[in-house]
Amino acid sequence: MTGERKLIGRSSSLFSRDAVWQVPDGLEVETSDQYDITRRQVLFQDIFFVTHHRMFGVGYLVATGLISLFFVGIAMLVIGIGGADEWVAALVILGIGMPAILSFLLRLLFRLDVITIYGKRSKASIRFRLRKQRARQVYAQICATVRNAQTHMARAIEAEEAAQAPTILIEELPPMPPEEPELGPSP
Amino acid sequence: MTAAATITGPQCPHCDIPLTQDWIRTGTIVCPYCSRGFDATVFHPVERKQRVIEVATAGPEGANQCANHVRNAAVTSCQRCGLLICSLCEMNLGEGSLCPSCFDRVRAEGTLRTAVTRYRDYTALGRLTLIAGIVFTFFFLSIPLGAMAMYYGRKGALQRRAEGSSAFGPYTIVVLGLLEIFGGLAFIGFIIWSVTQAGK
Repeated sequence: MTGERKLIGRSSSLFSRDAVWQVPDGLEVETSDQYDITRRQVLFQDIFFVTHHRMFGVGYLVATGLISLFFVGIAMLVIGIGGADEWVAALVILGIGMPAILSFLLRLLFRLDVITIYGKRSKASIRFRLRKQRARQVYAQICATVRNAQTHMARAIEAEEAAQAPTILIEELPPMPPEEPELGPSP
Repeated sequence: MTAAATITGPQCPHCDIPLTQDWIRTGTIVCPYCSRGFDATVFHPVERKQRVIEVATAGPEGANQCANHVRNAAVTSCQRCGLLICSLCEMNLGEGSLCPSCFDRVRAEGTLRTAVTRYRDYTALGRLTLIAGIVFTFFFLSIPLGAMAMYYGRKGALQRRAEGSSAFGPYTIVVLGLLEIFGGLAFIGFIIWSVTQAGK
């Protein structure tokens, strides 16, 4: 368990639910796998690439679009068969399909903001559905924190290396023995 | 999409195709493969150089050689098996130095607290048992499942407190679990009362 954690965002998809927390030395990603949680860290000192992009999410749009179409189709069919008097039934059907219709329209209008943080060994991603301003803030905040952490680390390493620099002792070589005269061929 | 996964290098966040060095820069980048744009910031993390002392240069006091690297001087010994290890082999997560083999073992056992990355989500378990108790009330299961929800809720609250989060959710589960037990008892009482009334 880590202390001083601050939730900065979540990333939910069809298959996984993740929460990204900021901890003093990096980002902690908690992946929910049914009733187990896997925790991984992307350390600030390892981050080398941070991206921010917007996307529709084709799978999500297709799924919500098809569900919306299904309910709208049934509502239209009810009005088509029963006439305009059946508008209450059509409204009820549209009401049931409203979450899917709203999700489809909201995604189409606002798209999905994704921030991806690439570390040397792992990556983290945070998704923002509606809060665009917050997404930009988090992107700027992560970049500033990483820059700060890496500058501090570079200074610390420099100081450490300066403190540990080996002192090279240049010792004088001992004098060479006097050259012996070459012996001539023995008589 | 997985939020934390092993990666091989910087990728396009749209298509996940690895980007070559020419495309890694700060600013707006258009992916050469999918032609979609994204904002990016590049950082240059500093590498911490590992200082390894060779036995030949270690001097008389550091002349013990590492058990895994014969040319390296040992800087410490493993606190679990006592093996002499060099700075390359030393694994220290704030709970003492371990050699790589012992580190793997204690990590697999789950006894090294700081190396545990997978744990049980008791709050989610409490929520599940609470809902199951409501669903299976008519099978007289709300009493044991309510008790389980209280147990998991309590453990979830302790877990949340340990990590500095709010324990409101787990405590709500504890209270609802208690209500579920009372509800289950009331249901059993009602059944007994109904049976006795029908017998009269």
